[in-house]
Amino acid sequence: MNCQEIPKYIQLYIDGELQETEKQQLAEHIECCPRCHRLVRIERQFKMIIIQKTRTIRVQAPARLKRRIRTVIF
Amino acid sequence: MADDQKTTELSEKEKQQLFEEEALPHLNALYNYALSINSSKQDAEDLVQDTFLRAYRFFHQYTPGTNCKAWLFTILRNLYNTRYKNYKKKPGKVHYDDYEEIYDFIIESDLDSSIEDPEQEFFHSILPEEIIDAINELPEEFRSVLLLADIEDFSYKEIAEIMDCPIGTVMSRLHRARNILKKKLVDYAEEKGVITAESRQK
Ligand SMILES: [Zn+2]
Repeated sequence: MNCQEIPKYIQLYIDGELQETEKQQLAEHIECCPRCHRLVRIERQFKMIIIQKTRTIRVQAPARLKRRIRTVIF
Repeated sequence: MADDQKTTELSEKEKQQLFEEEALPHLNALYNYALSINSSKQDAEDLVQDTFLRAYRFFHQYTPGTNCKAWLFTILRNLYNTRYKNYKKKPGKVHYDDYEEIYDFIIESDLDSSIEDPEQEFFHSILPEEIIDAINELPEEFRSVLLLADIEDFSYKEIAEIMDCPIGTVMSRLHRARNILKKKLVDYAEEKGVITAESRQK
């Protein structure tokens, strides 16, 4: 894997969707290429930021909804 | 209960118990996702309630031990599609060309050469409401794929089943969704003066 090929694998890599061989090839490349390593880090950081900040607005389903579902189903 | 036991062989009471154990714990995830694709809390609640109703009715089709969460999300999405098929707004038009890879400004610019990771400043400047607004402004299909991948942690294959589209579509929507978000967040950062237009064009 070379620097030109890396970008198209980054998304799959950070989403855990790469095949084992490709994953290894990418890992080996970024180990000795600071620029691509940084690309991967930025992309992962971006994903983490989305997860973190979105979690702050996650809500509990209203208790009445839970009750209603149980009443209607059972 | 053995995993290979068919739900059809269960008594009503056993079925209820299994449903309590496997399906109902996903209520919060379904509700949060429903909120993100519906315009009102009431619509979201109705959609979730209908999802569980249908899930219980077709619970014999569910194989215990398999991914119940993905199964429930697929039902929810089907209901949503049917309900809004006729008057659903088309996803907003996005000019993909506008959203090129934006790493370059981060990579090439040295905002301050003494800082080892200039992007840290950018990331830390992002406010939760900026992300939330930017996500909410995404066309619905893009927003869904992003939330299903990043927040609900589904695999591309599961998302393809839930959204009823090819895996390739999941991948390209996810990629575009992230690029649109990055672009928006960079715009916000520019407005706040965290990064400058010059450093971006370098
Ligand atoms: Zn490289």
